[in-house]
Amino acid sequence: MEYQRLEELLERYLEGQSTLEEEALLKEYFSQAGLPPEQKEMQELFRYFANAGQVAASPFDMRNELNAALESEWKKETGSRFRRIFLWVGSAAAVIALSFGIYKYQNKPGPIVKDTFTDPRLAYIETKRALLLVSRTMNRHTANLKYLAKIDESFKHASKIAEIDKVVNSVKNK
Amino acid sequence: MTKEEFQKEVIPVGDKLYRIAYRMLGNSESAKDVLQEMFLKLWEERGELHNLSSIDAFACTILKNKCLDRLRLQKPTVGMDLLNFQGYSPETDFDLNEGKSEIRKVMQTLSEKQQIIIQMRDIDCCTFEEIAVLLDTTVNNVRVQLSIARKSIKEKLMKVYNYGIPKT
Repeated sequence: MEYQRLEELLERYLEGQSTLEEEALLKEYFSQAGLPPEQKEMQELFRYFANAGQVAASPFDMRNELNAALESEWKKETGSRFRRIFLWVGSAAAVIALSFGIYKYQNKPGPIVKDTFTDPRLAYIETKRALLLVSRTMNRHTANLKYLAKIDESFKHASKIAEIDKVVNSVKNK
Repeated sequence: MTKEEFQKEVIPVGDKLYRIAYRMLGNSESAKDVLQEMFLKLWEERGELHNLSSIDAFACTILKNKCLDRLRLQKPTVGMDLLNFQGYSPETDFDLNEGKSEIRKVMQTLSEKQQIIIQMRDIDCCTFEEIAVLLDTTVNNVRVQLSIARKSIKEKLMKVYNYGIPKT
């Protein structure tokens, strides 16, 4: 490292403005052998830091453990996600199938009315004949109903009885 | 965030955070548990991680809260103060470095907060954001304290090495 650069880094270091990378550079620089004695205090200090760091840095053996935990967590999650999607799709499919069934059921064709004729003119004549038959039969039988009129007349005569009733009442009142 | 991105971007923060958890809790078992809980939480939040300015600081916040929860279980009165960083006492690192007693003595002249900041930054290589989160302060304040501490160490060490007698 050039002297100027070193001075600059040390200045930043003392002002609390150096980055971790710059501090690593300093540590590296001062770890060399055969440095000039002018900066003995900084050499000792940085060597001390580097040394203490090594001692304090307990080996981080959790990484494998963590990665394994992460892997299983990931699997669990994607597994449950798959299950969730499966459930969702399944129920959607069930709903669709059901509504399709209902739709089909409601649109089931009812009994079809089929014409029994092929020639409309013939059908017209046949219908007319049938209706004539009905009316003729009806006319013949209603002829007998004229006797009912005579009964009605007889009832009119009976109304004279009411007058007798009137006379009887007047006699009673006197 | 996919599984691969998570492995590449998030899992690596564990190295540094494990050390912090270890320092806060004082034993590796608890530190591992807390770290596992933290990663689980990060995994649950993975959809949001890309929107964060700093995943490190977010992870650090989770870690700190989990550590404090744990410490409160042991001792209900624990608050967020420097005493929680049991691991950040000079003894843990300094005793393992024989022949560095001058530096150790100089370190002890710093305030407790400055000692912690120096150790987090210069030994554990934490970012300013992480330190700020852990100490409930601002990034700027961390920089200022760090600068004061570094200058003070340098000055005192110069005296030690130039005169052979530490003036503390």
